[in-house]
Amino acid sequence: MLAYLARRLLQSVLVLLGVSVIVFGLLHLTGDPTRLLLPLEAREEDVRQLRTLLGLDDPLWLQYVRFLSRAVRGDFGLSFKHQVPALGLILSTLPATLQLTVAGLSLALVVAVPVGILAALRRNSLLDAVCSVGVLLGQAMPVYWLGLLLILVFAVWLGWFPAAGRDGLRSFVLPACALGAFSMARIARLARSGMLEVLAQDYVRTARSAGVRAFVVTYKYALKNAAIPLVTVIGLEFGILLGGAVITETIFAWPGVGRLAVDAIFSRDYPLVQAIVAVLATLFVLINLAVDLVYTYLDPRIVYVRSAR
Amino acid sequence: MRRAIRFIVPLLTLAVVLIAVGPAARDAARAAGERDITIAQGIDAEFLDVQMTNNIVTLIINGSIYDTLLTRDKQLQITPRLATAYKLVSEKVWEVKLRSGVKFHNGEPFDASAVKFSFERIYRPDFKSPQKGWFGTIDRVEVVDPTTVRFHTKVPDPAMPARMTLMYQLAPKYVAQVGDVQANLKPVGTGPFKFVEWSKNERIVVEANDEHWTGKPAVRRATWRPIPELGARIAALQTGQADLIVNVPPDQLPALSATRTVRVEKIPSCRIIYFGIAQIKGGALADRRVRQAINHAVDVQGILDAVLLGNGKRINSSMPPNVWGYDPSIPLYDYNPQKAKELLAAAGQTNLTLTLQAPNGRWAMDKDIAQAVAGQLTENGIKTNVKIIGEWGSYVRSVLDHKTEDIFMNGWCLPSLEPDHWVTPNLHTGEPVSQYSNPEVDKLMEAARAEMNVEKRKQLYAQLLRLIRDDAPWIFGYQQMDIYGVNTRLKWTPRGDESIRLTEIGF
Repeated sequence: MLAYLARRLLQSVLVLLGVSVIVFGLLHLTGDPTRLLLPLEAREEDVRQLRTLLGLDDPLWLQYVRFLSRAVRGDFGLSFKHQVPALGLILSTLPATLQLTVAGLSLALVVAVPVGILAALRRNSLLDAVCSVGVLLGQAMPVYWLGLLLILVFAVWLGWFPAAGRDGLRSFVLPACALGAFSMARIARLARSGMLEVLAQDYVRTARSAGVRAFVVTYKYALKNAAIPLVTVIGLEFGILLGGAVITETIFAWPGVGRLAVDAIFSRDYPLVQAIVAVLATLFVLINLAVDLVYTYLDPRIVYVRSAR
Repeated sequence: MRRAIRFIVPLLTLAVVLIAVGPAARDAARAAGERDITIAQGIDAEFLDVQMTNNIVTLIINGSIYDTLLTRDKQLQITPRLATAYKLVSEKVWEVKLRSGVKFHNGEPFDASAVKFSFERIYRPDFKSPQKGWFGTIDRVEVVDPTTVRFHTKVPDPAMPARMTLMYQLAPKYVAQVGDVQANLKPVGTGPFKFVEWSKNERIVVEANDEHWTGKPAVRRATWRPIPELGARIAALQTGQADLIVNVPPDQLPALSATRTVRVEKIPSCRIIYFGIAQIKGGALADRRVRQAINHAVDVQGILDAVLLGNGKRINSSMPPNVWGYDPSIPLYDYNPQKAKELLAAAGQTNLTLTLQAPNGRWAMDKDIAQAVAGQLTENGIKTNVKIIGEWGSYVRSVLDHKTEDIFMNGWCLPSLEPDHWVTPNLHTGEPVSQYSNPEVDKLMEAARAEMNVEKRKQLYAQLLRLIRDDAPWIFGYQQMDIYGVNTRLKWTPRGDESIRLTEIGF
């Protein structure tokens, strides 16, 4: 197990290194940020001066080595645009994004898993049909549209929740719904099909015929087995939501990493973009690792051993 | 069914609870304080170190914390602020008298050494201020006595008073003590409001500075909130979460007017929107008759009425009416397709195909207006394709690299409101934004920006603007209408320089 963990961690480092090369290369391909940092009427000599100040005159490989050697020490440099340490900016906005993501995903889980199970148990019933339509809507509705609709109905018409910003628990509800809707639909669909598959297995039939109570069969035996693909998807979903909160954060004026990232990309703020990608990629890799470890708990047949050579 | 109930019951309970506590949300915003206000703009401040920015939204927010030497009143006329008087001592020396007894928010006194410090900080080589270009004509600042400074300029500079409206004053001891980074995060100025809190992308809070020399502000506490999405911004105003919102597009006006607690305020802005014709590309566009024909072939008023619902005012040359130097007697181009055809025929360009570039989402309905312009040109014999460049960085680069398409949309307003800043950057040969070159125009601009006699200067601008109008380097577009949504409890009317001054807000 420990050896497995060590190997996985090493792999993660390689992944992150690869990500850093790609991001660094792509960013520098998008062009010179100095012109965007200066006013339109700025003279060529001001542009040159700023470029030197920002260290953009050096050869690309040198810039990369400098970036990497600082990054491993947790120093991503000063954001071009904000002139404060990039990592600090991210760490100050990350909690908002994490909170929103956890809220969105929890909401998705709380609704989707029971709904999916119910739909599977009452296959082809009215309930199943309603769920299918719900899933279809959830996956088909673009988040910006759903977001605006939620604002219109629940903030403007009903006045239940604030339209924008982050002020206390109530302000979480609308953005969490908007963010969680897509995942909710996906998880419900997966829970339903997973349950259906498991319910058709021999051991379920055996358990039933042995007179085990239906409730125990469903929740103790079937659900645990149906949960394995769910865990994978939930893990992935969490990563996707972390990075995909951009639109939700923009619509609801949520002060998170997503908005920071979009802003940084449009203003070609190299240090900030690099830092954001590094932080999000690290989180993503860690989540994946965690998911793999959860498997061993869910399915004792999965054992991580040193691969036989 | 029993199992279904197991899930439905808690859900219903949750819904009931939410309904019960819900409406309180609306009142919560109000309860914060009768004289507290929230202003929602599209973006957050970039810096609260006012010398690190040239962005108008950021300057608006900073303007409540910092004072400038001079300022603009509601009619945009230059008036005293921290400077009480200024005079020309010789052609290149301006003497400025400073208000005495003014203190920074940290108790530090404001005096001539602060003026010198604030100016010199911008030009510190390692300080990345985008304001370096604003004061480039100034050679040095001389402290005469604690309430008198002299600005020595490199050349005679009639724009000095306008420049002084942008000279924000910082506390020298404070900045030296805490450093640039902290000075940005915890700004200290002499302004009518004191900094309270800045939560990035979330809110900036300031509170009234009752010791300010203009007296106690009516607003006690102001929160600036960035709400990028228009729909959410409007919803925030309608629900009372925000009291004042900016950049309302014309098509949203009916929806806003329908809300009882909301009123709409409009004012023609200092920002002009024009379509530059890339004369320096040569070919047909180098021919003045072709550029004039293009102007005659576009019904600007018709487009304003149809696309912006009348929210915009045509401009006769390259300056809006609220900038000093504007000449109302210069005639507009009339919409005259026949004349356009004749001019094209005279120039031998009866089969012209052009491309017009425009951004998407930079200015109100920009893409739609660009498409309407191209449509009319095509209809009137100049086949025009539209190229939308959505990413602003790429758009800017095409302009600055002088690699625009034949026609490019642009918007312009600089906070100085100095007439030269509407012509030189846009039309002088070789300037980054200019896609035009005319030695005669250059000469007039240079003469006007160095003319110290006010009357003569005015005449030079009249002459220059007329020449520009006739030479048609742009399709002369329109003055943008700034539209605000305001909660009816506020007494406030907007300004023509895009600024929002908290001290101008009452209840």
